[in-house]
Amino acid sequence: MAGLTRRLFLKTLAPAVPVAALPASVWAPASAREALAQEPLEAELLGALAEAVLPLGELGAQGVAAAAREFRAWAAGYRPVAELDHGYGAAELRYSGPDPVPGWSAQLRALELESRQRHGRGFVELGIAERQALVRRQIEAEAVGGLPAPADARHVAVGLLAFFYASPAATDLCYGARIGRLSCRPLSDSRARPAELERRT
Amino acid sequence: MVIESDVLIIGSGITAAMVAEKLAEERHARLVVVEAGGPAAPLEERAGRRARYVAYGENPWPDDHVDGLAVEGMLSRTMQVGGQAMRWGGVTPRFSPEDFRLRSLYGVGDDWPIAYDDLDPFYQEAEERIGVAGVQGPAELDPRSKPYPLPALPLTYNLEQLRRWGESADIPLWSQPSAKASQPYRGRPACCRNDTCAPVCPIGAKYSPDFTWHALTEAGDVELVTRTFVRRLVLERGSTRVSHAVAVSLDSPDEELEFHARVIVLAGGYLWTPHLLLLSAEPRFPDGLANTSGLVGRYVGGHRSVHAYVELPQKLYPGMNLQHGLLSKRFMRPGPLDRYVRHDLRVWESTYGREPRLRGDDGRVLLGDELLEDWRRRTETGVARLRSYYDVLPARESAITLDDARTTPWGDPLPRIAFRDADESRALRAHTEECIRGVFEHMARAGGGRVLMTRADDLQDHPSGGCRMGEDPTASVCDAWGRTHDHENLFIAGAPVCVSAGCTDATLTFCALALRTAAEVGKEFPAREA
Repeated sequence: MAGLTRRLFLKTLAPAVPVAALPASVWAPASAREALAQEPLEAELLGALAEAVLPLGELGAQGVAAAAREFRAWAAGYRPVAELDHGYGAAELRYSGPDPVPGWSAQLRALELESRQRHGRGFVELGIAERQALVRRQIEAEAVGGLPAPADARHVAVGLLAFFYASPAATDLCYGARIGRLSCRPLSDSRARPAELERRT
Repeated sequence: MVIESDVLIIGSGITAAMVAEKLAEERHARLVVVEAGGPAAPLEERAGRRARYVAYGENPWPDDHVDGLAVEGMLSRTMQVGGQAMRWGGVTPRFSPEDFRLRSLYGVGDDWPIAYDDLDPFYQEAEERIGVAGVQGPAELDPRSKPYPLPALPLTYNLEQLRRWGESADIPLWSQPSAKASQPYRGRPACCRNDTCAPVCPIGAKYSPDFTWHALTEAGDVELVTRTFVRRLVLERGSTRVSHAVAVSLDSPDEELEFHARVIVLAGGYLWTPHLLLLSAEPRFPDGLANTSGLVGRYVGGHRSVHAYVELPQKLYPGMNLQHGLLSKRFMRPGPLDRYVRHDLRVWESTYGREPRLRGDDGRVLLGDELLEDWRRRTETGVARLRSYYDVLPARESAITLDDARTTPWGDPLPRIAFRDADESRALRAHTEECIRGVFEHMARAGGGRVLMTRADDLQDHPSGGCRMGEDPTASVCDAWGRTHDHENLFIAGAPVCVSAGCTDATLTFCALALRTAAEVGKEFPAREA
């Protein structure tokens, strides 16, 4: 659980990901990634995973697919060993960790293999409950409480969940209100209770 | 290489910007500013850098540090044009009148050689220069001679609920004063609640010193020399006046630079200012320049804090303006005390304990709609974050000294930081923190809520001191204007001259003190016509 210091309070902002607010250039593949010719996350498997772990009933198939696409783009834009924020109260310099994508790609393939072993079908062909059961087994050890920063997730499913739930869109969905966290909003609009979010019909 | 000027300002943080801007506006004087770090990223790059910060946690001010200058216990590695205020939160309360008279009023610490009223016009000037948006609190708690230059940032729906909550506990709370434009101000746009004021405002609604430097250098009023670290000050022969500063360029470390000036202003903050004076020891001043009193580097301290999260039986919508909050000075102006306790009070919306989680109460891993439902269920009640800074009175031994074991890349000793509470402060610490927890408990009860958790933080925030001001040259480093007692043309601006660190955010006080110093420096030069 996050501590109470001003330092930690500010750090809590860092992993928040305002998907809709970011320009497309943010996701542009970094030169380091291009040099390594890293394969992106396999889209179909990732989509199937997203249907299993994200709130499909509330987001709908299109919303889940969009979240999966954004996560894939975010992962492609990750820069290993980039200088991280060393904000007020932090005297030491920190750098981002290794690229999580190779490990996450391997985990997606592992889900596919395990699906074929257990069910004789590919992961995308399983029902939601069957997919969830496979994912639960794989993340049991990592799911200890709160969600990590997306890049710190050891399993791709946790990374996807962390990415989605750090987004302003997820906050709005949870609160049923148009809060628009981390986006540019007129000051004067802040006096009133945020407008209700229209539920998907 | 020799660079000549009328006034040399060492450092380019917010206090240096105040000094330079005031002198440039009011006096005919050639100004040179020397900064160890490099230029800050320009405004047009901020939105992109902020996006990477939000998405990946990357530093929005990459390379804003100088290799080899890490000091254990320092608050920040930031060393760039604009200094720490490039990434500050922009929160700008004033100290209270009591801060300047602790010994007279409460028998603890030391009085300043100036009173609140002496600083009031410079507080006002600082607020106008950096564009502070605020609303005056109750006059008896929050005295000021003129209104804020900008109307307060509006209270969000959340903060209005929390303000009423404070009212129910008989604690007045009001919009925290902030150097964020509530309407367009001096070329800066109005704040639009991007929520990342610290570390970076993507649109420049929050004041940062790069605006000042940009304007001054564009107008040719200031020569700004970057990536240049000042190693020592040198006295004139046969005089106690400072002749020049000796510096090294980070890009040409074999080349020594000399900055000659009629007046030198040290604006390097609580750490690097005493460090430079100590490094400048010479036979006539073997303990360092300006150090006849032996107090250079001494009485360094900040304020510690106690935090709490309080659950309240009402729905809040966290994220409406994340870094804006409420302030109370109620406890900065206490009545008669049996034991000395002073602190401020700040209140924000919070998501503490309301974050999405991977396991439910039954320990099962949550996926799909279950996870969202679990999160939603736990957000039906709101949470407030509370924090109080409280006075910490530093001991004489609370000091910046030279570290014989660790050196800069140029072979000079690095500074070493050692905070030590004065005996009276150490004796009061547990009592103070208990009193603050009592306030939090009282507030929780008044709102029908409960304290979820509290914690006292050991960090000494907004550190200051190290070159304290005073009338007695044997008990202080500089006079009430920041002029060092030992060297008539050497001034110290901002944080180091503080006698005590107060119990609220101190940056505005540093700015006001720096402007007061600039007023005195300016007397040495002809006035510009208004």
